[in-house]
Amino acid sequence: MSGPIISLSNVSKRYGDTLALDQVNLSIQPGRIVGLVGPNGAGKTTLLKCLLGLAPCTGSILVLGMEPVRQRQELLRDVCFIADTAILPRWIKVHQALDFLAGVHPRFNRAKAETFLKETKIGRDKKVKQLSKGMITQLHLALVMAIDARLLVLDEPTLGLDILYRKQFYTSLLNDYFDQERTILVTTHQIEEVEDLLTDLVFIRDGRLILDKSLEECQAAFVELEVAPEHLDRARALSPFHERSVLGSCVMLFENKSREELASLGRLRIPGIADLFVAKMQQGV
Amino acid sequence: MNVYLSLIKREFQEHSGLFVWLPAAVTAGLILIMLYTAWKFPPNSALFEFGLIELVVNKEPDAEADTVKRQDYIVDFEAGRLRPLEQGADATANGTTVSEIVSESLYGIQMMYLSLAGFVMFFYLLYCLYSDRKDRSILFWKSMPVAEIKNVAVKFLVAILAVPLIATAFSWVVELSFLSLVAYMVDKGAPEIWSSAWPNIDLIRTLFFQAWSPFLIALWMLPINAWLIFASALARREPFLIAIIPIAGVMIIETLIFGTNHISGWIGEHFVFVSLQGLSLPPDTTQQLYGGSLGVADLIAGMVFAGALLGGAVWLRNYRFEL
Repeated sequence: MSGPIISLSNVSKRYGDTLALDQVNLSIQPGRIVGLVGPNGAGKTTLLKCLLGLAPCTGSILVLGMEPVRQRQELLRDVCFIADTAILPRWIKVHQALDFLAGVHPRFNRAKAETFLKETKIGRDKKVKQLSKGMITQLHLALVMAIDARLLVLDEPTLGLDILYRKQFYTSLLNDYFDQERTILVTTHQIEEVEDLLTDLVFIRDGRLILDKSLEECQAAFVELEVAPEHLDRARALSPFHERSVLGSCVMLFENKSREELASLGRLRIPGIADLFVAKMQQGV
Repeated sequence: MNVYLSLIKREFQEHSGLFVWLPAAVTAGLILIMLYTAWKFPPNSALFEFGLIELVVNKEPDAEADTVKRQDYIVDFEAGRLRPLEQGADATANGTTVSEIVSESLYGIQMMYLSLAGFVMFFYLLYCLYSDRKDRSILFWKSMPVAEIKNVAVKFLVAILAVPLIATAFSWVVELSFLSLVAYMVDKGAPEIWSSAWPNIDLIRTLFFQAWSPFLIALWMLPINAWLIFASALARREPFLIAIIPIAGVMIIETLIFGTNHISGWIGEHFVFVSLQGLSLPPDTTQQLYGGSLGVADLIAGMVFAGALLGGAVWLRNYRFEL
């Protein structure tokens, strides 16, 4: 597919008096792993719901060339999503979940799911309510990874899991699922854990996108400067968009500034996503 | 891959306790009680038709009995005796016969099971589109490429048809057990009574009408059941109250303002029709469909109303599913 896999144009969504999404424009190409990052209440989940046809909105949305609300059933043959760890029905047994997916999903490969599950300690006769949170996530991931989908949407998929399960989750996702034909859109609070995974970054605040760049673009556009004390005034004169103190040093973040000029003021480095996120969230507040 | 089969299977897996184990437990309990009663208290067990067995077993010799050709026996509980019914005589004019009492018992057993099914259906319909929203598992179901219209249709049909049909199947087990015990006890006490009554118990016809009655009930109760599933889709908390309060409110307002009871009458008639006509004896399908105080217009009005409510439930499920 040559065009974007997701295309949003002037998308807005209102819940009563609250504007959850405000004129959002976004385009995601196939084969990308996009991190949608924002504080609580920023509109991440609302955006995902609009993409999945779970919430009607104004503006135009095309996912895989389809309108999510109108063509939801058709769309869900090619799109999978994990909302969070708690949504698998608690009464269902593992083998019943496998049966159900095999019965309703034309792209579900049961043998593949069984293979994934063999690597876990999940018994086929266990009910979801008998599994730990980590096991439920493993089960859900095994079910989803066995679907030959083109877009995977993950909304806080590792919420409440310990570090071992979180690492395992993303490792499986990368090693066993992701390829150049597939696109993953993920929201998470544990941004540092997906840092190495992402190809694109989207920051959202108060229903508006405040950053939408590939990681390469971010690395080219943003630079962190640990300012030498004698150059503080000169550095501030270059309008950093964020400034903080780290162990007595002053660290500033710049966007689209000449690196040669900044290099003469202190030590340069590429900012981490978490630092960039904090800086962007505080910018203009 | 069969989507509908998978959806039906899912309902049975989730609600196997209500749909299967509850009537199975009731059936096992009833059979045990019948066996125990037959063993412990023969022949004067009230369980077996208000002393019918006692009458049969303790039957006093009747002079007529040996001289007339019998087609059945009239049960005279007041006099405490059985009178032979002559061949060709009108049974209705003479009283209730042994075969009629036994047949009525069979329908009575089914009615008890259908009441149980009604109870199951009521709560299932009220919560089937609510509980998955409450525990958020709806997001899992919604991640599947299955249209909500299919989900709602399967849940509704399982409730209004599968539940009463399963209940009827279990009632047949009890009915046949009951019939076998009665046959054994009466035949043991007075074989001539059973041999004349048995041909009049049209078992096949009885079972056929029993299998048919859930469809009739479903048809007449469409608007009521559709209202329940609509309330389930609409409720953000306590579907029971959402289902009951508006109806009660409208009834009270109608009574206070207009002094009439049309709404409660209409709802009541759908229930009463079901209980009195739907299961009338002898079963008469024409009577069941068009008889009683409700006519075809009421049936069609109920279907249209039910259609609108089901459409509303699908819409709510699509666009207003969050609590």
